[in-house]
Amino acid sequence: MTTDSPIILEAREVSRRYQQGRRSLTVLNKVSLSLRRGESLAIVGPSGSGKTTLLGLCAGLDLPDEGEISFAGQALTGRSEEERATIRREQAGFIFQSFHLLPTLTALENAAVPAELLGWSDARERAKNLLRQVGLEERLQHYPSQLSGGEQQRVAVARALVNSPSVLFADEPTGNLDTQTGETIADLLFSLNESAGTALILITHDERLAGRADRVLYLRNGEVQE
Amino acid sequence: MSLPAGQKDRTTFRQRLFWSLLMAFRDTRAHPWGFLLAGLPVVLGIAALVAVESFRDNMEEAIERESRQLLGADLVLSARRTPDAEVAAFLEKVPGEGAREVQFSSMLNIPESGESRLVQVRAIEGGFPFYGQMETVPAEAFAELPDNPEGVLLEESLLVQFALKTGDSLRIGDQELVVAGNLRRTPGEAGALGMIAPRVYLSMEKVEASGLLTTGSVARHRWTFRFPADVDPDAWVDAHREQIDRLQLRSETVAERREALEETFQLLGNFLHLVGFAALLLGAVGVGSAVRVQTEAKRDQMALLRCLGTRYTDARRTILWQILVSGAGGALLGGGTGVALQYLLPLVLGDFLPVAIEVSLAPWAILGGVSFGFLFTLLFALPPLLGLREVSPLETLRSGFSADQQSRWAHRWPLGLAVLLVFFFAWWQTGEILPALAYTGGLLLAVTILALVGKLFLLTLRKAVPYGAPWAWRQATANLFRPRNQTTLVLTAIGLGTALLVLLFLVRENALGQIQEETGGEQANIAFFDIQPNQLERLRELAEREGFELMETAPIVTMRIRSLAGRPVEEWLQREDFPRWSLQREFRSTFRAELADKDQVVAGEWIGEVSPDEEVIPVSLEKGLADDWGVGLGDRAVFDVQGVPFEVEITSLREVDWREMRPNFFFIFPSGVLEEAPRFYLTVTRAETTEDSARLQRAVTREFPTISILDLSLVLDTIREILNRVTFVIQFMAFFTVATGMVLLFSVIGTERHQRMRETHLLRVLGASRTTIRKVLLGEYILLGALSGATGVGIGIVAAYAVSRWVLDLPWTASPIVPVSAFFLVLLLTLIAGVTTGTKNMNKPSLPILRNDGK
Repeated sequence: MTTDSPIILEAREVSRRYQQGRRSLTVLNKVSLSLRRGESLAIVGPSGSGKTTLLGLCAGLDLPDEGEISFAGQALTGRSEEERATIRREQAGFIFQSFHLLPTLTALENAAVPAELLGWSDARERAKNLLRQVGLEERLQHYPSQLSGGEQQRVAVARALVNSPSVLFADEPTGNLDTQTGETIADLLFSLNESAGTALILITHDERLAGRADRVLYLRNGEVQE
Repeated sequence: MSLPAGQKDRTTFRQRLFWSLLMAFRDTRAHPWGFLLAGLPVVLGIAALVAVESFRDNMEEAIERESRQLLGADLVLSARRTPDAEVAAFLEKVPGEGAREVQFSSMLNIPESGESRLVQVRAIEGGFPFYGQMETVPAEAFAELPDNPEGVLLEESLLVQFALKTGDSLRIGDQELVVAGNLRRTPGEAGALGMIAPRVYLSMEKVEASGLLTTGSVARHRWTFRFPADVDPDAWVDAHREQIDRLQLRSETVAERREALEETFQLLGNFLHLVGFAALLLGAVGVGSAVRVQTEAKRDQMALLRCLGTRYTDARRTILWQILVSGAGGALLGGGTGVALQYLLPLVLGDFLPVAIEVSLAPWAILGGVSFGFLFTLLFALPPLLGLREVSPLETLRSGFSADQQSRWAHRWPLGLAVLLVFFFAWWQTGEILPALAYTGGLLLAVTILALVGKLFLLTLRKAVPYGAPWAWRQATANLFRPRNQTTLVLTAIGLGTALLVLLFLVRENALGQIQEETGGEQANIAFFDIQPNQLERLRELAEREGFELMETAPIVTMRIRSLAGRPVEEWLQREDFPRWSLQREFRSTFRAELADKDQVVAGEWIGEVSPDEEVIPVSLEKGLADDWGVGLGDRAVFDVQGVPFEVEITSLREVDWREMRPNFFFIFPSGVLEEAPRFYLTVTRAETTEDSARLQRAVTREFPTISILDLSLVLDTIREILNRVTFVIQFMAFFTVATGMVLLFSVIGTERHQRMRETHLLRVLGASRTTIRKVLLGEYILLGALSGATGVGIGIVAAYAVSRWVLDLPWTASPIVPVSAFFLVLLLTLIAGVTTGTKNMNKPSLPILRNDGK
């Protein structure tokens, strides 16, 4: 990554509030961030600090009450959920703490879904390739329930990269894994991210994992801590 | 390959359609029974629709095919009196070929065993039937009857009852006869017509020569005609209507018979359809519920697909395909079952049909039933799917996150459409708006009441189980309230089916109970009629010798009415809204000095005796007929008693309970005027046992072969048989609703199985023993079964009471056996369904199941 790389994701002074009964709860307060192509950013902070909310807003899963977000050169604010879904389909990859594989699909089918959604005819080939890269060439036809946690997360990594996204969003990708498996997944994530030139934005409680990112953003009570 | 936004997506609509289909296939491949089972509840409802519609189609075909055979002639004229010269002259004028028939009641007696039975004797002179044929064994038996004066053709039921065969001897009245064959079918008459008095055919020569038809016996005369091809029977009847009415003849043409038949079967079909539709409705609610459970389980998948950028329509389509396949599967299975049932209906109803049904596939009926059922089911399955729009992609990051809720009605509009469809269906079936509104409203009301009562029960239960109650019971109660539970739905479904069954059984029991009450206790149960005046005293002596007492004896004089309230009968008959039969009929009146205790005068005063030269005779009239005619005290009428006119004045009105087995009359004359008129007697007695009854009947038939005997226990058996057959069909349909309720229960338990399995294994991990878990399961289903049973039985009893009391005017005689049995049956079935499904996965290791939580 170089500082010359174009900015692929930018949030400007975004705030998000939720209504709790009669009370309005501010979860994020005027947070800004920017991410360049190929750059990695770790968001850290205690529980309830607004990490997941920020990730959701950046990925277009939710809309801010205030502020602007632009993703792949397109403003997310003011767009309908269906329009944001199109941006996600083309530009985003996701990795979740609890893997979120479709239980009725095999590893290969799971990994191929985002490419299938784009109508790519080589979806299965791409998925196979990625699964080979994450070391699951022997497990292509296995269902999630037949895979270990680490294997499931590797399928999720393959799925996240199969549509060649601009940004990879990872929500505690090693949170449900033991240390060693977590390390393996983190290695995979960073190496594949680097080779694909994808920007990575990840939430983690793991300081070592955060330390591997190009930059770290600390959140506390919905605000960025310098 | 990282392309700018908007350039990567190369999908076409066809590709997206294919992708959603592929995803649906992948989903079903892993859990084939999830969505496929969801379509099951609707199977029986669609089966009912298809069966009834196909049956109706077959029936219409049969009526069309046998159109002319419905009467066996082009025109039938009939009268309840011996034709006079004027009638004979009129009959001469009817064009084409004619035949004459006489019908009357008499006793059939088997000399060897002494057994006897009331039969309807018929004799025909001429070429009837002109269309179709009498089906007999041997085939030529009917045609040979005129040449065989000693021969008699018997209905099969008589041959079976008395173990008779061709060539055996028997007696009808005082005539020795020989069985000439077996009568299978008469054109246009239902088999059940002869249930109380089976039909026997003799030659006219025998009837006329034998004196079987004595003066005063009640006979029906029929004249049947085949018209020349160029004369239209209906036009001819229209042209001669005035004469036909004046001669007090009844006429019927093929077109009229056909219209009446079609109307009757249209009504029967409509009724069965509406009952079957209740099963479909229940099934559709069940499908909706199963789909809801399935789609709820797919929220995570939906959220993930949305998160990955799937279009909402594409994600929804993956589930829509599965709903369509399960709905179509249910509809097709229902269609198949309906076709199978279609073969059953004629077996049950065959005896009541005047035409021979040839069961054949009715493609339009099947297609109509299946597609209507499918469409209806879809309307109930769509709301849960539309509700998925509320699933936010954010749920992938934050479990339980819920986007701003839409209005509940935003995705429930298909239910509104479904209610409209119910209304239009009922309108189509009944042809009238009000009954259709009543049906739709009634169903909605029943469902609402059931749901409300169910909820009330549940709330009471929740409060009634104290903290100190055993843990298993508290847990069982809590299970009924688990998140996204289907308790109220299952309760409503099973409750509705139970209520329908209890209603039908109780009403039937009330109807039978009423008859039993009237023939039990001190009530008469054997009636003797056609008793000549000179036989009465000898009959009384014979009865006393045998240990019986004749309880109520009445002389009967036949008469016809000539004018009423100052206007001749012909004038009354012109009125469209007038019950024509009531003036054309032959009245069988009695005369007596004192009214019996049960004759209740409600207006005027009973005058018991008059002098023979009284000019205007005071009579008592039954109040119902007075109301029908619109006449009252002081109105006069002129009767023709065997050719002699009698002017009468209504001086009292009586309430008559026609259901009571005793001599009941419309008109009662005072003593003093009719004593010299030709008359016969009617009397009744009571036999405590069937053996006593048979002994008395044997003795009377032996000594008085011309006296007819009606054994009321036989009538009761016959009515019970008819009620059984008719209610069987209705109960069969009601059973569909209970069965649908059960299928729904299985389906709900099946779709909740992951949740239940997790609960069970969590309890296992926390240290609960298998026995404790079984107790919890048992408790949950005992509560569910008991609540459903109690709600259904309760509503069934209230509905049965209302129908019996206010619609059928029957007193409440039902025993608690039906409700109690229904309650325990529902309880047992619920327990079996619940416990067998619930304990299925108990022996699997707990940890993998809990680890795969939600997978």
